[in-house]
Amino acid sequence: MTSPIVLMHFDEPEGVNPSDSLGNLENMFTEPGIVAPVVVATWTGVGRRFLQASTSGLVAGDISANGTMLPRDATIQVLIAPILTGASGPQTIIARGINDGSTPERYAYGLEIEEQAGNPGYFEIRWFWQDGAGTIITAPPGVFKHAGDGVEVMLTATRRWEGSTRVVVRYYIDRRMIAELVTTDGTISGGVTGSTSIGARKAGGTWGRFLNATIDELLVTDYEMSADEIAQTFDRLTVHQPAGSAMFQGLAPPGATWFDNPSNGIGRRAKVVGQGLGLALSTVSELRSVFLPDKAPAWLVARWERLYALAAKPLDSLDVRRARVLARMAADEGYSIPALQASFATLFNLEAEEVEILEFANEIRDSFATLEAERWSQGTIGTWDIAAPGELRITVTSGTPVPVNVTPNPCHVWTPIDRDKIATFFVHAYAQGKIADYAGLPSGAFVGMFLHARIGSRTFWFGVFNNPATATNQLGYCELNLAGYIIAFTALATIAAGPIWLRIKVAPAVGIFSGPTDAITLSWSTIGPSTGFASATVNASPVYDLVGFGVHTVATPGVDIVARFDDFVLWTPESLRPFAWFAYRDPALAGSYDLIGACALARKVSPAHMYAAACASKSLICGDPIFGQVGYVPMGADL
Amino acid sequence: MLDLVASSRPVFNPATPKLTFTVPPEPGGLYARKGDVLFAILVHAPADGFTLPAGWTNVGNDGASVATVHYIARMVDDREPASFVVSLLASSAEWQGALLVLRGSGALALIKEASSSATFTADATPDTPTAPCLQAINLAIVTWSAATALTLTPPAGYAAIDTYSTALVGARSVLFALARANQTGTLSPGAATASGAATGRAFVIVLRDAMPLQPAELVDLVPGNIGLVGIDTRAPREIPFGA
Repeated sequence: MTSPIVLMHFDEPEGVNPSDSLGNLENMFTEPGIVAPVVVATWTGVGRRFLQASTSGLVAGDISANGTMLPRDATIQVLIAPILTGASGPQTIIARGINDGSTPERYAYGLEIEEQAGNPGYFEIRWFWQDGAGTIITAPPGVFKHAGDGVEVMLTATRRWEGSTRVVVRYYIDRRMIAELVTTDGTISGGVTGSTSIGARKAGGTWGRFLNATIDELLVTDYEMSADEIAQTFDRLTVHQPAGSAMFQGLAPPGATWFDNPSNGIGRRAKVVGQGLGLALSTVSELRSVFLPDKAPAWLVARWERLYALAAKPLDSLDVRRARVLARMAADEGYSIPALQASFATLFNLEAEEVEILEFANEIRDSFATLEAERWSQGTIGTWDIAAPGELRITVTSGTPVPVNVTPNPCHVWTPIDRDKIATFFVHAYAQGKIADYAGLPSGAFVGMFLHARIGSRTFWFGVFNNPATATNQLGYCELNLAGYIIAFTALATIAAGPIWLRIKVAPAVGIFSGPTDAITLSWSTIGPSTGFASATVNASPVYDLVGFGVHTVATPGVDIVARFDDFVLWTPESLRPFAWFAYRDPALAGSYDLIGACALARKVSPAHMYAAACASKSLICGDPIFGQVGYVPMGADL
Repeated sequence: MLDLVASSRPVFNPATPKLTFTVPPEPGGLYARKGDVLFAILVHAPADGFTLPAGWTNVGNDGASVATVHYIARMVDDREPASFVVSLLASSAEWQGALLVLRGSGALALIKEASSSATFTADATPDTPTAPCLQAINLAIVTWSAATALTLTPPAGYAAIDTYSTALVGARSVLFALARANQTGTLSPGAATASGAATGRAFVIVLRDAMPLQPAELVDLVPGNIGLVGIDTRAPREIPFGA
């Protein structure tokens, strides 16, 4: 809602009770304890003089079909001339509720002023309300200097409810904000069909805190007015309307004295016309100033949001909503990296170049400068670490047997072949790795790469085995197949010590459903990662979902098993990785950011065949768009 | 409104003797712009003195031999150096400090609203003196200076700017903390927490951007002006074509 709720002009003549121009309140009246304020001349024409010594005050109830209950955001704007002479203590401008113990009459909002104790000539202006327990909460005040008794000024107070523990209050004098403060007392009580009092506050059946000032006009809205709106309002009153009057008067023939006396009939009529012209000019000026989303007030930013199909959350501040629209507008400049960086910069509260766009290819490479816990899951047997010069090292203590099955606990590091999908057909893909060192491999120990399928718990090993039968290191393979049967090691070559590059690949022409008779090509090279490969085709299932490095033994090792691996490459041409991109916001950089708004922007700007999100973490936790997409980070964690 | 943008810790050299402050530089979103105020807090024990650097304003000092604090300030201009040096008069005191970059300040002469100090002796919860505060938007900066190496934690509602221990002359610990006053009247920051019995002095300074403003008057020789209006924010009606 973005509407005015109460608008009091106080232009009724003496003897006629003031009324709310918007029709949400009954006609204001007096009762025992308060007397009607007298009519006086004010800047707009007439107003009401609330005299503390006379206990002036007015009260009215809600008209049942409408309501003035505002439990969240609100703005109170008043043209008022405070008078210090004869004043003491807090003075109520308006209070919604008469605090009679019932919930509907708890103060939902209220505004008061008071001369500062010990600082004469300075006023505090402050919000107040009651919480769910009926405790009166007084928000931190703004402070301004008294302009002088009878000097009419414009005061505005806004309240933005962000949560039960955070309410932001702002205070303005004329067009300037004098304070923005936060209170943690955000439980605001009150109920529909209550009462509103002006110039006094009632509690427990007794009136008090009487105002000592002249109120010219009073406006209450159900939204937080922006600083721009407030500035435009004051400019209308003090710049545009007088300019309109001056413009009309300037149309008089040169030398004419029609408007020399502005208080005569012609002068007043000219002023009416001029003020109308000024109001129109002001409206145009305000629209020019606030129509773009960077300055749009709440009621206008909602239209921008509809145009861009953006949805604001209930507690989004105006600044957040503006930033989201601006980001969406920036995204319209194109789907390029620089354009995307510029789009997310506002929501991330960063410079464009600080926004990282994460994009992926079908190939994963790992040179093991570090052991990335997000990529590699470790078994429980042995110790994996990174040894100089950046190689993955496994150490298994002598006397520790390691089963050939990589589940549930043995000695391995593994990574999913394609996301976290179970039973990936390892077709058209290959995995490659380097056994950098395996010197001193004890008899019966195997080190190398493996493929594993969690369905059926099948493992295919390819690597170096110190064969007890031959007492030599042999390159070969073995398998724990679907039936739980260990297919004995098959040697492919006898090799000398030294690095060896291993590659496992499924031939693309193989029928996927042929079972264990499908062909897998095993290749190895002692020269380098790209040359000198010898190959052999073996029969095994092509269905696996994990790949990694590991160790297993057929006999308890008599010495420590120490091996090093490096240069991991995984190529999955059918992977969906290239179809995902992320806008990454480094949380270590200073400033707050709107991740949810950024996620919405990512989805908006991304082509239909892509998955996109904003994230503040690069870690793999969970999630896959095909499986319902449980997160917003490269690996899916929901932040 | 005053806001803290950045801070840095000075280097104390008792041999020279001097305190060298580094102005927080770009990039990283923390930098001193023209119009910002560099607000330096210098605290020492026992008694000592310093030479006010050229271009700096002495905002005030508090305390005595147990510990003394000095506040100096300067408004950043186009030729702000990356660092500045405060020359000390003697090398018999342990000097510590903090440099704050404050944004939103008005005239330097009005930046200080109030200050106070109080000692604490062998107290694991060294209390803080109260100070008057006229505007809720003011910043309250509290400094605790204690003998020996201790871990100091600010009271609830106050954010630590910096805390450290040095012993170049005599072991001392210091904690600088800050909070928006969020109230008027007497400000009572509350007690800090020390890792042991602390002896020293606590200082409070209340900073403001300016004196409270006076609203502009709505004045007209002849009463009668259009005042407040309620904006019609209803969606515009769409009249069907041909209606």
